[in-house]
Amino acid sequence: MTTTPEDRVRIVELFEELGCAQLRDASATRTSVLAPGLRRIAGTRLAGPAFPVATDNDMLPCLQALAAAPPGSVLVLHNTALESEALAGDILVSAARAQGLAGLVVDGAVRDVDSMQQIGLTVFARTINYVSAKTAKVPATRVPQAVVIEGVSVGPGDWVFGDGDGLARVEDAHVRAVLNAALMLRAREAELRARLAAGARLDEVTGLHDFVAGRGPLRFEI
Amino acid sequence: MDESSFYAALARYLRDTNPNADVTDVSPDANLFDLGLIDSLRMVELVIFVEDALACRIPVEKHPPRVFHSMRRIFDAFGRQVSP
Repeated sequence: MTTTPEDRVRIVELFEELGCAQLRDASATRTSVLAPGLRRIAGTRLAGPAFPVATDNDMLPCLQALAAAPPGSVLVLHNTALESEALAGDILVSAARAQGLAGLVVDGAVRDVDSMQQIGLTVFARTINYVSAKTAKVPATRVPQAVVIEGVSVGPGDWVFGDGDGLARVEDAHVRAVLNAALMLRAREAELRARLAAGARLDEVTGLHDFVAGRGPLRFEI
Repeated sequence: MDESSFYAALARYLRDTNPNADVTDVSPDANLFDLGLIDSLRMVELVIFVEDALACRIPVEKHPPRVFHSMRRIFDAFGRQVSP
């Protein structure tokens, strides 16, 4: 079942209490590790439905996608060129922020990173290159369009989450289930932290010594 | 889906996902966590199964784990919103 507008608001709110790690712990099959080669350039966290487009060092598809991306979405720019010129700088990021986008993911290069950090939009990118992509000739075949980043498909509407650990992708049909499970995991982690703070030892809680001695399971399913 | 049909369908799901466990006599009030049939790492698939079986939407909320502890609790929480 796809998410409703109310779901989307709640998912973004609740992700503030979670992280990519909890989403992955909740379901390794439903939560894809998205592009470990990308790093956070600016901002803190992002969460929203993807609005992807592919380009070949050409700004035109990027500008088309930016123009069409709805508020709350994560603009995903996938550069198919082997050596990426900058697809986004402080102007594009400022525009994205003004449009109410939830974040920017660039599978390629960005520039203006010093000023980008003052804008308030979370940006992930593969590289930094102050040489801007100057070509604006070949329009996108379709906007938005599915792209593949490091073997992971990102389709329009797939959820993209980002924090200090990296990026994660969850299909829209499963995102509510993943968030629900992640919240339960988070609650159980909070219980464990409380036990540790009260004096319990992690090796005792997990049954480490019995496990090493072959007398029982290692209880990391907390 | 009515209550008894849901229990039967969920029992089949638990049997399919726990081929080595004895799930022939799981009562509606049995604690699925204590029986080892469900754990927090398998919660996503359970939520997806319940949504499909009951044709319901489980909202994104802070459901306490106890909501999923037994078949009856699951049906009480999510099945009665669509069943007579």
